[in-house]
Order: sequence, then C-alpha cells, then structure tokens
Amino acid sequence: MKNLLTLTVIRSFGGRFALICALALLPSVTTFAQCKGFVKKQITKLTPFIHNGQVNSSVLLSGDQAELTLTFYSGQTYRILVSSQEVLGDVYFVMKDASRTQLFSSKELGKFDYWDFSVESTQQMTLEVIVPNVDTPSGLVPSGCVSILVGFKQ
Amino acid sequence: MNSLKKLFASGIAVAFLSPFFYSCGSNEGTGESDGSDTIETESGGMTKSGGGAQNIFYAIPSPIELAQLIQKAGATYNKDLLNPIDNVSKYNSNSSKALNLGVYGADLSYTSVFDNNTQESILYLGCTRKLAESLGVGNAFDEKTVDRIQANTGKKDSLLSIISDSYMSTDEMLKESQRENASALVIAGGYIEGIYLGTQLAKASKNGADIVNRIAEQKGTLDNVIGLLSASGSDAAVLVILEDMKALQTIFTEVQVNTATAASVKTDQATKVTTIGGKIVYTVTPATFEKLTAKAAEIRTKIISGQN
Repeated sequence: MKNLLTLTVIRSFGGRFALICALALLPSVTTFAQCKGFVKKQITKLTPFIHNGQVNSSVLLSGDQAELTLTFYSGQTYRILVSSQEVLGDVYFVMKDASRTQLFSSKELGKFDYWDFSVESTQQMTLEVIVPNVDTPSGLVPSGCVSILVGFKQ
Repeated sequence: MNSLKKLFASGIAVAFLSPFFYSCGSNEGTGESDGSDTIETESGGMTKSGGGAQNIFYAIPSPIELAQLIQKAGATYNKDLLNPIDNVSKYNSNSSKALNLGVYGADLSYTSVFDNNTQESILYLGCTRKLAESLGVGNAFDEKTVDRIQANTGKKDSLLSIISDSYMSTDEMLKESQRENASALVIAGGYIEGIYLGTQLAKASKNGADIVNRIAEQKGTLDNVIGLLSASGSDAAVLVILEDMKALQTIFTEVQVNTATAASVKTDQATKVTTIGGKIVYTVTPATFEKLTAKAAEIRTKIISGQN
C-alpha cells in the first residue's frame, strides 16, 4: 500500500517536482555532513585557546579561495586553525591587514595547521585560505572540506 | 516506469557523487570554475574571483572575549544590567527567541567572566537552554552542560570553554538545519547586548576611558554583523534588525580609526607566537559615545521586550 501510494505521488507532476527538489537539495545536505564530522575532529587542536563559538567551514574545490575578516583585540593571543581534507593538497593561508598588506603566509611551510599571534593594536584583519590547483590525470577536480577555527586567550 | 528509474538513478548518482571527493570539471585542470562549480558557504555569502569560487565568512568575536576585555579595562559587575530571567517567557516568535538567545548568551558570558558565583551563570544558562530548546537546538545547552558547569565551579577557564562549546553547537545545529537567518539573529542579539553592557558600564565607571576605547573598537565587528545579516536572507525579522544595525553603523562612522605607525611582524622563536606591531588609534568623542549608548539601549530594549 505504501509503495503504491509513493508511486502515485511520484507519477503526478507535483510528485516529480518534489523529487527533483529533493535531489537538488541532497548535495547541500551531504556537503554539510561531509564537513560536520571533519570540523568536530579539529576543535581539540585549538586547546588551550577558547574557540569563538562559530563554525566556518565549506566544501571547496581545487583553485577555490575562502576569506574571513575578523577583529583581533590587543591584549589577547589568538590561534588560527585552518584544516583541510588531504585530497585538496597543501592548502595554505595568508593573513592581511586592513590595507591588504600581507603579514603572514603559510605557503612555504607545507602542511601548516595553525598560527599563534597577538596584535599590539586592535584591528580588522583578513585571512585568505587558498586551495591550490591540482591537475589530475582524469581531469576530475578534487573537492573537500576546509574549516577555519579561531581561538583566543588572555 | 523505466524512464522514471533512469531519472531516479541518474539523480541519485549526481546528488551523491558530486559533493564527495571529486567533482567533474569542464575546464581541464585550469582551476577555472563556472557557475556549476560554485558552492554556497554555510555562512551564506559567496563571490567569484580569479580562478575559483571565493567563499566569504563573516566572523564575529565571541561575547566572552568582549566581556573579558571590558573587565580588564576596569568595569565592575552589575547584574541589574542583565536581561531579567523572567523575560524569557515573553519570547514567542522564532526571531525573538533567536535574538534573545544571543542576548542571554552574552549575559551568560558576562556573569561567567565577572562573577565567581556559578549559580548566577546557571540561572542564565537556564534561559539560553529554554530558548535553544524551543528553537530545536536544545542539545547545545543540555543537562550535561549544567553538570559540567557545576563540576567546574571556580575554574573560570573551564567554565568559559564549556560555554564556548555550547555556542559552537548552537551555531552548528542552526546551520545544519539550513537556518542561517536564525544563526545570524543569535549573533546580532549577542553583539547588541555586548555593546549595551559595555556602554552602560563605561557610563557607571569613574575612569571609563579604557572601556570607551574597547567599545570604539567594535566598529569593524559591526560591519561583519551587517554582512552576516545581509547574507542570511530576506526574512522580515532579519531586515528589521538589519535596519537597526545600519542606524548604529551610521553613528559608528563618527569613530575615527587612524594608523599611527605601520605594521611590523616579529615571531618569537621560542614560543612560536607572532606579534603584529604597529599603532592604530581609535578616537570617539563624548557626543558620539553618548549617541552610541542611546542607540544600543534603544535597539536592546526593542529586542528584550520581544517586539521583534
């Protein structure tokens, strides 16, 4: 009975529309699930810093960038933790000040997870996370989760 | 029936395979991506730039951080400034619940940072829990959280870490359930409560200059709050608070931010901690601070009265 009812719904126009909508939504749901478990595993790497309570994560493709701007206060020490799935290669990050002058880059440091720093004056800075272009023999473009977590301590 | 099977099978294949590990690229390894390569971020914002998609995250400092900075600047505890716990029953709409979850979350941060009395924190935890539960994210502030707080009485760092865990769980659960607008409202409520408490504490302090300076430093964060709200959809409640935030931003434009000395970068080889040097000066006149104080109080009154 249940199967018959399902088939009837799918055969109708509305049912097909609902099916297409459901299929269209699936990638975002599975994308979140892909990142969810990944981010949770990274949080311990922030210790002894207190994380700022926000989840910044996304599935990125080879060649993509992510950008995060945040106010950093004088008198605090921060840890920026950038984690990525191995399939994306050596993801690196660059910190720039408000005038877009580069202050730090992890590009030459290989797989570099976190960076601890403090600021003498409170300021807005922008973290750019860059996924390198990866050529694969199959022509497939790698994609994977990237998370940016921020921790602080006095 | 066969065509339906094909549609279903190909749909399932596309839906499941595309987000996992590899996506089929049409650009033969150039790194360029067309619209099909773009992925919406969990924070909602996205632009295209250079060779790939550029995901924008709007990050906001934790209310715990602002409470710590204001305390260090000389503020003293005044629990009368907090949103009364009895108000929690006033919040009926989802938007009002989300905004006041942010308000009570900031109050919880404030009591936890300033007051060594864990009982006060547990009262505010009760308010955040009630609102979180009615928003369907009650697991973030469950019994285990209360037990952990009680077990860590007197250990401030542990307490703050537990509260941060709850913030993160809330944020994650709201985003997981595709409710970026609620997540943005929680953050906006927390931001306004932080500004309200800071401005009120500066007024009450004999030497409030350092607190005033910490409030002036919130100028950039407000831009991020506005960016986050703007990216989180056109929900009516979001638009209302967005207008309020823009009014506050207009006053914040009067705060002058000047770079006195250029940035320098030095890393301590022993601790591996980098120091970003340079002097940036924030200047706010008493008249501007008065306006910021009044506007923050006005927005906060609207939020805690449950008008949103």
